[in-house]
Amino acid sequence: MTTLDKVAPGTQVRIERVDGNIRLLTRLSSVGLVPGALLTVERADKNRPVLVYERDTMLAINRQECASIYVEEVA
Amino acid sequence: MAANYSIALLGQPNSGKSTLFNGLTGSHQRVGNWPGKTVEKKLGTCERDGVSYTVCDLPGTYSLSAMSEEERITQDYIAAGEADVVIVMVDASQLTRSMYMLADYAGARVPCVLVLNMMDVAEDQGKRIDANLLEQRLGIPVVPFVANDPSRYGELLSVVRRAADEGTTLSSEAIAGIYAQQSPEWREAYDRLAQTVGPDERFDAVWQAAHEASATHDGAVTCGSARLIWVDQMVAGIQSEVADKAPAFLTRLDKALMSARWGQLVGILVCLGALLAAMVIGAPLMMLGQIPVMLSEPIATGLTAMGAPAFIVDFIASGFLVVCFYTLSMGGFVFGVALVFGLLDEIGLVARISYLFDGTMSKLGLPGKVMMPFLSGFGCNIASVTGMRVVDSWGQRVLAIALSWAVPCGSTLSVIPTIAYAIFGFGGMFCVLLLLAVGIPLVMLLTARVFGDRLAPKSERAGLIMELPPYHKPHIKPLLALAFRRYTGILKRAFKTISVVALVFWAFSYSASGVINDSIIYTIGTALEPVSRFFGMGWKLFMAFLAGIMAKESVLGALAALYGSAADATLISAASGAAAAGFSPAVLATQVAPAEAMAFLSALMFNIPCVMVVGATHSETHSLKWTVLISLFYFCLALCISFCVYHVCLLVM
Repeated sequence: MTTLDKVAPGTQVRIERVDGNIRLLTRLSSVGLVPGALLTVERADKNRPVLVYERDTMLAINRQECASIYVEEVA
Repeated sequence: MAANYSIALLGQPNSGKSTLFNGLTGSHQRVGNWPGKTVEKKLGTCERDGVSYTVCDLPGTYSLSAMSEEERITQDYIAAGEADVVIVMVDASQLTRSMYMLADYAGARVPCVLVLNMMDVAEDQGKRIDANLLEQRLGIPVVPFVANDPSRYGELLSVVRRAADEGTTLSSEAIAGIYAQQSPEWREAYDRLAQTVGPDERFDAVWQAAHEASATHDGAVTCGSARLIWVDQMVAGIQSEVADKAPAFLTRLDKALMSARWGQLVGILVCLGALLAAMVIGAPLMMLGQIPVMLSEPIATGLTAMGAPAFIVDFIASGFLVVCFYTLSMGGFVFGVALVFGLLDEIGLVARISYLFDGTMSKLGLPGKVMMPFLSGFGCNIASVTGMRVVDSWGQRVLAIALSWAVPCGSTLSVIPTIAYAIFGFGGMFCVLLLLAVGIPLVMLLTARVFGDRLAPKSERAGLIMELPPYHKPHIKPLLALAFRRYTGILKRAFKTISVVALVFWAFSYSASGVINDSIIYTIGTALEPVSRFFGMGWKLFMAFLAGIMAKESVLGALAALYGSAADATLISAASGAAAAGFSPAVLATQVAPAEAMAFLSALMFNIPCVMVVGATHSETHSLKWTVLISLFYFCLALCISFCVYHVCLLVM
C-alpha cells in the first residue's frame, strides 16, 4: 500500500483508506474518492497537483491531500 | 396557490447555477452577504406569464454536510422552508460525479426539480442521456437543460410550478436501504432519530441520521460511499457514450498547458493574449472617452461666450469632462475583460490555468485562477477587481481583491517611469523595474499575511481538490449580455464616485487668481508639511501623491500645477494632457532631492490605485468595512514605504 502522491502516471489504483479531517473526507467523497473507488493517475508532475481520472472527471488533487489517500495498484 | 413561487438553486460551483440565476433575474438582483457571514447572498426576482418568482442562488457547495459556512447556510435555508422548490443543478456531461449533491438532498421534504445542465456539452461528447428513465427512477421532474439558452427558461419554470403544486419530493427510501447496509454509524443514529423526527420537519429521519453519522470520521466515509452507490444505481443505464472528442486545436493547447516544463509559460501567454484581446474588444468603447476630451475646448469657449462665471467653466471643462473621460475609458476595458475572461471560463481554460498556478497562489491563500484577473490589473485595476468574480468563496474573493491592488495599472506604469526618467535618467528606469520586481511580490505577501487569516482561514480554504471540466463550446450572446451589464454597472457607479471626488479635488485646488498659492490646497499642504516630511515627502510631492488617489494620470497635472507656473493647470486636468503640455517633469530634478523623489515614486506605486477602484471594490465586496480597511492599509503602507525608501536613499545616495 502506498499513498496517491507516490504513484507513477498511467497507473490504475484502488483507494484502500482515506485519512484526514472530516471536512476533507466529505469533500473527497463528494467527488467519489472513497475506499473502493478506482482511479487512473494521469499526471504526477513535480510541484503540481496530481491529475487523476475518475467518475467521468479529470480531478486535480493537491499533493498534501494525496498523502492522506492510501491506494493499492490494480493489475 | 399564490402566484408567487420561491425557488432556490442548489448545486456545485461551476454547475451553471449563476448562469441560470443571471439569465432568469437579469438586472433584478439584490446581492449582499448573509447576515454576519462571509458568504454572499444572491436574491433576484423575475416574472413570466403573469407569475412572479423569487430566486435565491444558494452558495455553491459540494454537499449539504454543514462542514463549511456555505454548507450551513444552504442547509438552514432549506430547513427554514424559505424555498417552495429547490432546483438541483448537475452537470450532464459529468453525470456520475455531479449527482452526489442530489444523493445528499434525498430525504429533504421540499419539492425538488433535477436540472441536467450542459446537455449540449454532453451531446458534443457523444453522450445520450435518458431523462425520462431517470425521472421514473427518482420520482421527481428531470429537465434536460442548457443554462445559457434563455429559450428553455419557460419550460423549466412550468416544471417548477408543477413540482411546487404537486409537491414532488425526492424519496429517501432507496438511499435508506443503502445507508443501512453500508454504515453502522447511520444505523445507530437512525434508531435514535426515527421516533423523534416529526413529520413536519423539512429533513426526515433518514437524512438527519446520515448527517449525524457524517460528523464522525468513519461515518463520513461510509455515508459518502452509500451516496455514491445510490448515484451509481440511479444513473445505471441512463447514459450511453460514444467516443469523446475535443476540437483538435484545444487538444494541442491542452497538451502545451499541461506540460511540466512549458505549462506555466503557455498559461501566462494565454492570459496575456486574452488581455490583448480584451483591449482590442474594449477599444471602441474606450474611444468614447475621447469625445468629452475633444469637447472640452469648444464647451469652455462656448460657456465663456455665454457669460458663464469662470469657475463654472473651469469646473465643467477641467473637472466634469475629465470625469467622463476616465469613466468611459476604464469601462471599455472592463467590458473587454469581462467578455474575454467569461469566454475562457466557459471554454474550460480558466480551470486549467487554476491548476497551473495553484501551487504559487496557494502561498497567498488563493486559488490558481486569480492569476488571470491579477494580470488584467496591469491594464486596469477595476478589471482585476471585477474579474475576481471567478473566485467562488466570498472571503477568498475579498482577499484576492485586496491583493490585486498591489498590481500597478497601465496609468501607473506610464506615469511613474515618465517621472523617474525625467529625474534620474536611465538609472531611474532601472529603479522602477527593481521596484516592480521586488515590490509587487513583497506587498502581496504582506497583504496576504495581514488579511489572510480573517478572510480565508486555513481551515476553510477550498481549491484543494479541483475538477478540470471538459472543454465547452462557448455561447457568445449571454456572455455579451453579461459583459454589457457589467459595463453599464461600472459606468454608473464609477461616475458617481469619481464625480464627488473630482468635485472635492477641484474645489480644493481652485484658485481664482490662477496661482496655486491662493488655493485651499496650498493652505492645507503647507500646514501638513511637518507630517509629510516625516514620511519623506515635501508638501508639494505629498499633494501630488494624494492626487494619485483620484487617478494616476492626475499626478502629472498636479506636479505641473505645483512646480510649474502653468496658470490653468489644476490637480485633475491632466487627462487630456493639455495641462501637462507646457510642463516638463525635468524641472523636478532641480527642485526635488533624489531621496525625496525616490520616496515619492515608491509610495505612488503602491498607494490606493484610484477612487474608481475603491468604488469597484465596494460594489464587488458589498462591504464598506472591508473597503475602508483595505484602503487604509494601502494608504498607510504607501507612507511606510515612502519613509523607508527615503531613509535608505539618504544613507546610500
